[in-house]
Amino acid sequence: MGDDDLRSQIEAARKAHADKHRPNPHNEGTAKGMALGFRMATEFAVGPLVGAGIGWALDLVLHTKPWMLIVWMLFGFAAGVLNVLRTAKELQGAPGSAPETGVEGEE
Amino acid sequence: MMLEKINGMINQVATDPIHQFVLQKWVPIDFGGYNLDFTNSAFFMLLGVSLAVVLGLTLSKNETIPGRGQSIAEIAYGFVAGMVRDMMGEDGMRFFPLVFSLFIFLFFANMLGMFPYFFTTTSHIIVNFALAMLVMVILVGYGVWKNGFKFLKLFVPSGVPPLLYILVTPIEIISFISRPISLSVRLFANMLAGHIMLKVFAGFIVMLSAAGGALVIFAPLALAGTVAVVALEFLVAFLQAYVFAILTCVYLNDALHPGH
Repeated sequence: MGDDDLRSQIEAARKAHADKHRPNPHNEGTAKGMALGFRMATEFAVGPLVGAGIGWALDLVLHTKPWMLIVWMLFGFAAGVLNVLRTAKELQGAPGSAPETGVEGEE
Repeated sequence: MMLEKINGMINQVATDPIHQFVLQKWVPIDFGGYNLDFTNSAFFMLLGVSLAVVLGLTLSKNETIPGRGQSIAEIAYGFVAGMVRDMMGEDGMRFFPLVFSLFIFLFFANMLGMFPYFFTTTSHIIVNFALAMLVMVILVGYGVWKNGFKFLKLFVPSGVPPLLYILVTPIEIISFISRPISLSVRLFANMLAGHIMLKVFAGFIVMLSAAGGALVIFAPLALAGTVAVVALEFLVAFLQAYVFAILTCVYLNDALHPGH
């Protein structure tokens, strides 16, 4: 009997505490939104950069200047879009699945 | 005359917003040709780690009714453990020590950076990149050890016609390589931008007060702005440590369950 009684009391106390100490929604929203924006921006920007890096390195090795750079940078843009789509999907709480949406546009 | 006075005052308070990120050699150490100088960055890393150790020591008493230190440590444990379980499932708990160490280290490094005159370790990209590479090496190492060649499925998503592999695989490879870079750049850029913003806003107070005349009225505005930015930066310091930890979980999940 005592167990349930204590549990309900704890629940009530927790609820009261949560109501009283609700975080300031304005401030939290700004920081979270900024973090989210930053995340999307870096996710996208890094794609072409890495693609260009790989292409440049391949050009050096294969002496195919500038074709690898061009091709891999385009791949990089696709990868950036893919990164952003994955991040968005993950934030929506959907389980990460095969990125059909990111690839179809490539054809 | 007036201008010189203002310039003098500005120089006195050192408004150069980049100056706070300069590495200073405190103890020069040369180890077999390698430069292992003990810098201010190293000092604040050590300080953060020792604070984490102190937090851990509060658990040694292990009282039924926890004191303050024990409460904080237990909340931190529960927070990260919940995150790891959510992202990777129960078998992901083998990575808990790694994720928890990363989170606590980055949290203390970011928070220590909020003290005036303290150095922000995470504002140097090489520190973050080393941590991100640690995650990636563990991800690849564990993924290959556990799944063998199946780990390479990561680069060949299911449900794509084989003809398209020629397009999809390079994209997946770039996406994979971009992970440690985006992980480290994000933390670095947030800390760097935030601290520069703080310094610039705080510099406005002095500059506006020193300018004299009607401009003095705006100095309190700059002060209010600085206070707001400080509050925002505390949130960013926590959020960026959290984002780093949660993305570590997301990435390590690929090693546990490849092929999406």
